This record gives sequence, C-alpha cells and structure tokens, in this order.
Amino acid sequence: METILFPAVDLGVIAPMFTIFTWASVLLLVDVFLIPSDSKRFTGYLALAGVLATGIVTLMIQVGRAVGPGTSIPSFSGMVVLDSFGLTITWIFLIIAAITIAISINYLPQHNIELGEFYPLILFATGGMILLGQSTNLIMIFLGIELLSITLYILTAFFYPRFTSEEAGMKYLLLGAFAAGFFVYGIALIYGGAGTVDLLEIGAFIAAQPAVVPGVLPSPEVSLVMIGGGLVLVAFGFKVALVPFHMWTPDVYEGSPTPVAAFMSVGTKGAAFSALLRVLLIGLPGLQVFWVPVLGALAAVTMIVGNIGALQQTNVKRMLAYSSIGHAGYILLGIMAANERGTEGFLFYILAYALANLGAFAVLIALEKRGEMAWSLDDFAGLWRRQPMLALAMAIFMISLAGVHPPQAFLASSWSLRRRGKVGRGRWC
Amino acid sequence: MTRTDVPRSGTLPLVNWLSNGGSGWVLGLIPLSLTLWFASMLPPIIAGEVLRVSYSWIPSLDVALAFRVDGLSLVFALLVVGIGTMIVIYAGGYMAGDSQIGRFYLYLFLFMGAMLGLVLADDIMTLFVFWELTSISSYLLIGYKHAYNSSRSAALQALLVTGSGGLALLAGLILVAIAGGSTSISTLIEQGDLVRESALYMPALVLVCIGAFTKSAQFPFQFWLPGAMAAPTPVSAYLHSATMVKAGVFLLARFTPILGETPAWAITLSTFGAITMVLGAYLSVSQVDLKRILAFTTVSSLGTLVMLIGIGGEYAITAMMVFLVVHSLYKGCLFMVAGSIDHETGTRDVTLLGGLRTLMPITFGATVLAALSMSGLPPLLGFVGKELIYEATLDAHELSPILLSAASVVGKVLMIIAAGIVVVVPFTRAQRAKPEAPRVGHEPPLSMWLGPVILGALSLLFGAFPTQLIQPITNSGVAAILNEAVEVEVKLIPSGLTPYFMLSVLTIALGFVGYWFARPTLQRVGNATEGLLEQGPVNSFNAVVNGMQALARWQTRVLQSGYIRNYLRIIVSSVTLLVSYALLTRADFSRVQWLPIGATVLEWVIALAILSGAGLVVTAQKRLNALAGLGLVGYGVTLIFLFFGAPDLVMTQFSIETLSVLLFILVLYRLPVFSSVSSEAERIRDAIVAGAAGLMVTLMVLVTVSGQLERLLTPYFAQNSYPEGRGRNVVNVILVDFRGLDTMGEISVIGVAAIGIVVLLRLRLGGEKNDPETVSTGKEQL
Repeated sequence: METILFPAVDLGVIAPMFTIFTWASVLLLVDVFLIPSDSKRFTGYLALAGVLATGIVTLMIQVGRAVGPGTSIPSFSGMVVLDSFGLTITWIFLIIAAITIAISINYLPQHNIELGEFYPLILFATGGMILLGQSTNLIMIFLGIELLSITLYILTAFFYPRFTSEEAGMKYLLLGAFAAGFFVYGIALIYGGAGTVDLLEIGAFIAAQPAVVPGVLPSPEVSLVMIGGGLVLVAFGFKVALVPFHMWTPDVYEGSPTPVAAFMSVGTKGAAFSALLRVLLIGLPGLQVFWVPVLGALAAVTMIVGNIGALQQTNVKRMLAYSSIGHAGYILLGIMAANERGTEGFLFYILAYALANLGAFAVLIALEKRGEMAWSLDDFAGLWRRQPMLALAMAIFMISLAGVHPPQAFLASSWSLRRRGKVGRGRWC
Repeated sequence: MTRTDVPRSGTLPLVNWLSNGGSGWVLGLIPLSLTLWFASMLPPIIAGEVLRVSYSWIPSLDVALAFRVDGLSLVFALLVVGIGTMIVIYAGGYMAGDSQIGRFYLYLFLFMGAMLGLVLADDIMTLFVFWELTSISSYLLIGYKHAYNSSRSAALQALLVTGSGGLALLAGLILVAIAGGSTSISTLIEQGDLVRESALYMPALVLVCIGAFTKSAQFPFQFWLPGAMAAPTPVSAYLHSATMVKAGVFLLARFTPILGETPAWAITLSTFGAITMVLGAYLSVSQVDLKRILAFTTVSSLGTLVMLIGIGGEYAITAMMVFLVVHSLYKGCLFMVAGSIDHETGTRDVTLLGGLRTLMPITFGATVLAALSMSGLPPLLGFVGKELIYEATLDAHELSPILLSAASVVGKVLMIIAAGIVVVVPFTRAQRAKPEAPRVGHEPPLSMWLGPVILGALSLLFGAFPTQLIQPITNSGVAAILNEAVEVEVKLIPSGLTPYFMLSVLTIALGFVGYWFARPTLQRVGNATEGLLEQGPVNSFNAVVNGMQALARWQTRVLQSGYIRNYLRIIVSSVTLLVSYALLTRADFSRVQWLPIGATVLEWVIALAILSGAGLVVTAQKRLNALAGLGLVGYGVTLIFLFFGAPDLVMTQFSIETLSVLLFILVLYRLPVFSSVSSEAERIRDAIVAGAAGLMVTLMVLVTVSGQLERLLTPYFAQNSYPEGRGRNVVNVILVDFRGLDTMGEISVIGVAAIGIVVLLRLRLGGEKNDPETVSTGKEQL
C-alpha cells in the first residue's frame, strides 16, 4: 500500500479557532457531567476563561509569527489565511464574546433560562465568526456563516417561554435558510464560471479575462461569476441586515434574550462584513463596475430606511435594531471604498460600534435586572434620578452611536424626549 | 457644638456670596483674561501679520487642528470673549439662586470654547467640528429650562434647522476641499481662483450658503431665532444676538476670498440679505415682548451683514466690519436690559411696563446709549456704521443701488421705531396709577448693570473716536476678508453734504416721524400679516417634521408587518429585480436554446409530472395534498438525476425527499386545519411575484447551460480521483478528500445544531416541569 501524502497544514494559522472550538466542545462535556445545575454560572466563568485562553493563543500567534501589515500566511490549501486583518477582527470578536458572556452570567438565572449549554454555544458562534474573518474560500465562508447562524437560531429562541422569542427564532431560521440557499446557489454559479471557490484564484481568473466594462457583454464564464456574485451579495445582505433584506432584524432583536441580541447586533455584522470584504476585494475586484453601483444603492437605501425607521420606535430594542440597520449602510460605504483606508476605517468602525452597542444593551440588561423591563422609551423617563450611573452610561453610548452617525441617534433621542414631554415626566436625555 | 458646625460657619459667607451672583464674578475672570490675551495680539495683527498654529490631527486625510489669527478672526474672538465676560458676570446675577447654575455655566463655556474654535479655525474640518459644537451647545442652552415644553420644542427646532444646515455645509466644505485641493483655509484663500473656476463651484456655493443662512437666521430660515428666545436671557444676549448667529456671517466673510467676488455670490447674498433685513425689521415693530422685538431686529441686522458681504468691495466690507461691532455692542446691552427688566418686574410685555426711568436709572442710561446707537444717531458708533452702509449700497453699481439703498432705508427706519419701543415705552411712559407689571421694578445689582453700561459706553467711545479706535481693526479685518491690504477711512464727521449723509438725515427724520405717527398703523398691519410672515415658515417647518414622522410610520407599517410571508415577498421581489437587471443587461442570450427541441418522451413525462406537482402545491386546499405535490416535484427531480447519470445524487436526493415528506407529515399532524385562505387579490399579487421569480430562475438556468464554457471541471476530477484520492467513486473522493475539510466542517455544524435542538427541548421540558408560574403568568409574552 502506497503512503498517502497529506498536504502540509499549518495548525498555527487556525490556532485561535482551534482553541475556541476545542474549549467549547470540552466545556460542553464538563458542563453536563461536572457542573451541578444550580451553579451553572461556573460554566460562564469557564467560558470566559476560554475566551481568555483564545486571546492568549492569538497573542502568541501574533507575536510568534510576527504578523504585521503585509503578512499573509495561507494554510489548508489556501482555504484560510493568517493575516493582520484576520487577527484584528479576531480580537474584536473575542472582546464581543467576553462582554456577551459577562452580561449573560446574571441575566440567564434572572429570567429562568439558565442552561449551561448557552456558553459553549456562544463560543461556537465566536469560532464561526473567527472562521469567517480568516476564510479565503467560499466554501469556508459558507461554513462559517452556517456555524454562526445555526447557533444564533438556537440562541434567539432561548427565551423560553416567551412567544416572541420562539417566533423570532422561527423567523430567523426560515429567512436564514432562504439566504443560505441563495449563498449556495451563488457559490455553485461562481464555481461553474471560474472553476474554483478559492477567492484568490477567482480574482486571478477574472483578472485574466478581458476587463469588464459597462455596456459590453462579458464572456459566459464571467457572467456566471457575476450572477453568482449577485446571489452571494443577497445572502450577505441578509446576514448584515441590508435593506430590503433587513426585516427580520427588529423582530429578532426584540424577541431574543438581550445578551443574544447584543451579540448578534455586533458579532454577526462584523463577521459577515469581514467575509464580504474579502469576497469583494480579493475575489471580485475585477467586477467593481458591477458591484459598486449595486452596493451603493443598497447602502443608500439601508441608511435611509434604517434611520427613518428608528424615528417612530417606542421599544428600545427595536430602536437599536434599526440603528444597527442604519449602521450596516455606513459600514458598507467603508467596504465600497475598496482601499486600505476603507479597510482600516471598517475595522475601527466595527470596534467603536461594537463597544457602544454592547454597552447600550448592557444598560438595558442592568435595568432589567433591577426589575425594570426597559423596552419602552417611556421607561427611560427620569432614569437619571433613579440610576444616575446607568443613565450616564446610556447617554455616553447613545452619543457614541450618534457620533458615528449623528442624524439618527440625535433625532431618535430628540423625538423620544418629545414623547416624554407629553407624558410630563421627562427630565433626561 | 457639633463638629460640622466649625467649617460651615467659616465658609458660609463665601458659599452664600457664590450662590448669590458671586460665581459670575469669579468665572468672569476666565473670559476676561482671554480678552486681555487676545487684545495683546492686536498690535501685530494691525501691523498686518497672520498668526498660525497647526497640530496634526488626521494626517491620512490631510486634516489638521489648525488655527489662524488674522484681522477677521481677531475681531470675532474679541467680541466672543469680551461680551462673554459681561455675560458671565451678568448671568451670575440673573441666575442667582438657580439650583442648576453649574449646568448652565458648563453649557455656556462649552459654547464659548466652540465659538472661539470656530472663528479661529484654519482648517475647514476643524471649522466644521466647532460649527456643529455651537449648534449642540446652543441646543442645550435653549432647552435649559427643560421642564417647559415650549423650551424643548424651541431647542429641537433650532437644532434641526441649524443641524440640517450643518449637513449642507459639510457637503459644501467637502466640495470646496475637492475643488481647491486642500482643507487648509490659508491655502484655499491663496487658491480661490481654483475653486471659483471649478465645476463644483455652484453646488459648493449653494450648500455653503444654506449652512450660513440657517445659522444666521436668513430668510427663509429666520423663524428659529425668535423661537430660541425660550433660552434664559443671558443666553439670548450672548448666542442669539452677539455671537452664535454671527457664525454664518463669519463663515461667509471667511469664504469671501474662496467663493466670493462672483456675480452668483453677490446676487444671492445681497438678495437674501436685503429681504431678511426688511422682513426682520418689519416684524419687530409689531411685537410686544421685549425679547421678541430684539430677536427680530437681530434678524434684520444679520440680513444687513449678509447683504454687505454680498455687495463686496472694500467699502461694503468695511461697513460690514463696523456694523458687526456696532450691532454686537448695542444688542448685547439691550438684551441684558430686557433681562433685567424681566428679572425685576416679572414681565417683558411692553404694554404692561412704564416709568422705569426713575426706578432703574443706571439701566436706563445704558439703554439710551444702546438705543441711540441702534437708531444710528451721532455721535454713537451706530451712526458711523449707518453712513458706511449707505455708502456701500449707493455705490453697489454692479447690483442695484436704488433697490438696496431703499431697502436699507426702510430697514433702518423700522429699526429706529423698534429702538423707540424698547426705550420710550418701558422707561419714560408715565407710570400708570396701578402698575400692571407683577412687581415694581428697582435697580438690579451691580453685576446686572455693569455689562450694559460698559457696552453702552463703548458704543459712545468708539462712536466719538472711530478713526483712532475702530479703523485700524476694521482695516485689518477687511484686509483678511479681501486678502489684500486696504485703507478705508472710518470717521464720525461726514465730509460735507454727501448723498450718504443726506440719506442718513432722511432716515432719522422718517424714523422719528414714523415712531410718533405711524406706529399704531404699523402694528395693526404687522398683526394682520403675522400669520403669513411669521407663522408661515414655522408651519412649513412643522409640516416637514411631521411628514418625516408620518413617513417613518408608513415605512414601519409596510416593511415591518411582522408576517414572514410579507418579508419573503419583499425579499423575493427584490432579488428578482436585482438578478433580472443583471441578467438582462449582462447576460448573452444569443446561444440560448429557447425551445425544448430534441427532448425525449421520458423527459416530457418527467417535466409534466413536476409541473403537475407544482400545480397541486399551489391549488391544494389541504396541507397534506400540498405536501403530496411537493413530494411529486422532489421525486421528479430525482428521476432527472437518475436518467442523466448521477446515481449518487439520486440516492441522496431520494432519501432526503422521503425524509422531509415524513417529517412534514409528523409536523402537520399537530397543526390546526388550513382554514384562512388569502383573498383573490392577494393571490394574484403572490402569483405575479412567484411567476416573476420563476421566470428569473428559468432564464438564469437557460443562460447558464447555453454558454460553451472554455473549461470543464469534470475531467479534472475524473483524472485525479484515483491517483490522488485512491477512490473510484468520484463523488465520494470529492466529499472525503478534495473537500475533506468542508465535509468535516459541515458535520460539525450539524453537531452544533443537534446540541442546540437538545438545549431548546430541555428548556421547554424543564421549564414546564420546574416553574409552572413562569409559563402561566405570561407577563413577558408581549
């Protein structure tokens, strides 16, 4: 029997992902067999330790491989890559995961939904996000999206026995499955056209073809890639909540447990956008004439619909959902810039947005903890008098969200102020 | 004696003094020292120097935190900190005893800093940031009395107007930066021609003008300024007369060397300025609230300033600089006086006031000086300003000297009447037997009359010696605006019976005649037209705001119905549109085989089976029937795979179809009967959406299979499966070898999904068992 030659793999490239997946799997077993059901918060602490361990591994990789600007270490036949973009976004995801777990530890028992599996699921989702940040292969991206989404379908429906939670989970699942269909169909068409699912090779394939210019029919191969690319964009549009694929967002944010909504609002968005960034800038830069106008129109519609929609919301979670829709449009602009500065801006924006949004959700959780179900804007009236620190924090997060895009948050908060004026007990905001 | 008594007895006098107006004296030291510091810059600036500092801020965008002190910015800076000093001292007295005075000072100093940054900025991005900061701090100050609904809505109105103007300004500034190739104002000033000759000039001009007009309350945006009078009076005196509203004027002056000196610029600015000047003055004389009278005269004065910038040239710009100082001095004074009257008598309604001359003699003295300056009587600075304005309008040959001069005369005459109302009525009208004001007035504390007196005295001092005191400063300011050295004489005594002087005499005569004879008529006419001129813009503003809210409601209703079928319909239609657009514009249909030529009987049979299955799904009245149809479609597709040589796929597809039909039946078993069927119209709409989507997919498939692809994938796998993967079944080799990692990943995904489902089941089972209360209360079930 001849020996089978395995292609060389570099496990260092997937070390952060590997760590977090392993930790999650082991934690699942530890949780079932070792942790009694009345001290499940301990699972949460272990999950935090997992995030920390992943952070240490990431740091070791970053230092050990001297990852800096321009570094690009591919592995697994070029399906994943280790570069500074991927590592930066990994750091952001780890921060998001840590904050989500931290705000869940008290939230879950409070609402009687404390199950140890919650934490490994968050870790699995984070692993999926890291995979999305490092993939340079359409199939890997699909895998990352599925891993993330399926975990989120479950986490969304976690708020038993609230009907809105089940409904949200159901809606998210059905529409998500629909989007996944688009994605797979898109990959198939791209594969048919370019003969590869590797982003670099797709880029090289398109570059080798005659340049795509408006008004001239491209070769059949390129048109296949183009149509496939369109379908892939639709699927991404669903994941990052671009208008008109955004309708699930407010329903799902409202229904899901607040930490999950917080996680989703920044995590899914960051992960899907970082994958989209690679698809567009590595795989399809040759088709800019095709996707720039499409994405430009989507970004414009998204910003307008998201911001206008936020104006009339009375439920804070729904308002934050619309805010996140609006933000998706702004982030898309950074990607469309299609240059280094746009990418830098994207990473910075994701980080700032993640911190502000997670913070805002954390304030909601803190209020819920104190027995206030702060979902209606009216509940914020007089918050300053009751909880000055929380009010201050909320103000800072709101201003921060306003800072990255002023009109929506400012108008929204002004209108909420107006509404409170009507009930005659307004004082803050 | 307790321990806490010791320190308290020691500090009480200080605490008392601080909370009763003393804080103004202490905090006033900050702007006072700034005033002195800026004053120390006067000699070099007058000598023609330009002081600049710059700190790197966003080097990648070539944006710097840069500041520039020249004649223009120094005059504005001195006004900001100088009048700021008086205002802070005044506010200490006016707001004495207010429990939140700390918050007030915070906003006030925030504003002062923003305004200083704005006038000193040497980079358009720096300028814009400070511009927005002034809008925001103004919003906070107007809404300071947040317990009143009127304050809050006035604050919001001001913010929305100036904020939207700010957006327009940002766009305009970016266009200027693109056209001029720099964000540095100093550079742009030197490269003004580059901007003026650019194709972006007109849009940039319009956008910058919108920004400036909203901020400086020019027609048709003048309505927010009187509304802003909801702010405490020190704020009105400072922001809405002396400083913030001048930001727009400053912007236009700053951009004169960049955007100015073109016909479009001159016509736009002089037209809107003149309209605002007349409209503001006209509306002021029919008011009864002191602060509203002053607010409308401010609108008028701002119009004058904008008009003068529009006329351009060294005389008009000198007139603008002088009038700027004139207006800031008298308007700051009069607003503080109005506040004092309100503070001491409890009302600002002129019809209720009278006889304050003897009760508030010092305040009266300051008021007279300021009002005379406002009326433009010698020897006050207002007279000098007015002479220069007439000189500028009469010499505006490129525009229309007669129209502009006439408008100026009308505006000035009305201003004299307004000044008369402010002084004569409350102060010298005989005190009625029974005073109608809530309280009998008396002289306010020192902190509240010092500012008005200083400002009034300055009007007199500068008016008496304009050549010595004002001319050097205005000349350097004009030089900064026009970017060339100028020498325009600013003097009190006219050189003989010039036309300007004659016009001035005529104005004063008409003003006095008008005050004594025409005032009642004017007020009647003013009241009659108030609805149109004053309320009109407010109503249109409200209509826009409400329209936007209605749009938001409509959008939420249409897009966010909560029904997943509606969501799906929107998604499917959007995708159909998007992909059809791509298909129709980009795809090559020339090789598409439209007719099924050469199809075998077997293929026809399968196709018909699939079609009838689909028909059954759509028309079925019962879920089970629909399911049977779905199964038919699935097995039909499986048969196609079978006859086209893909046995592996057949196996997979067959098991999946069977499994899903079985699962479906299990689920359906628990669902209620299919009772509510959608209406005819809904079904037609759904049929159109579904048909279009189907057509799009069909087209896509036809295009996909029509192209003669240059490279086929199959040979690669056929050749390499055995040598590299050691397997004869190509599909298997692909799954476990070529794409092994994917397969493993998919298996993990399924594993995670399974774990999740277990969790959800446990939640439901555990929830019912452990805590029946949570289930039954339903408190959280929204």
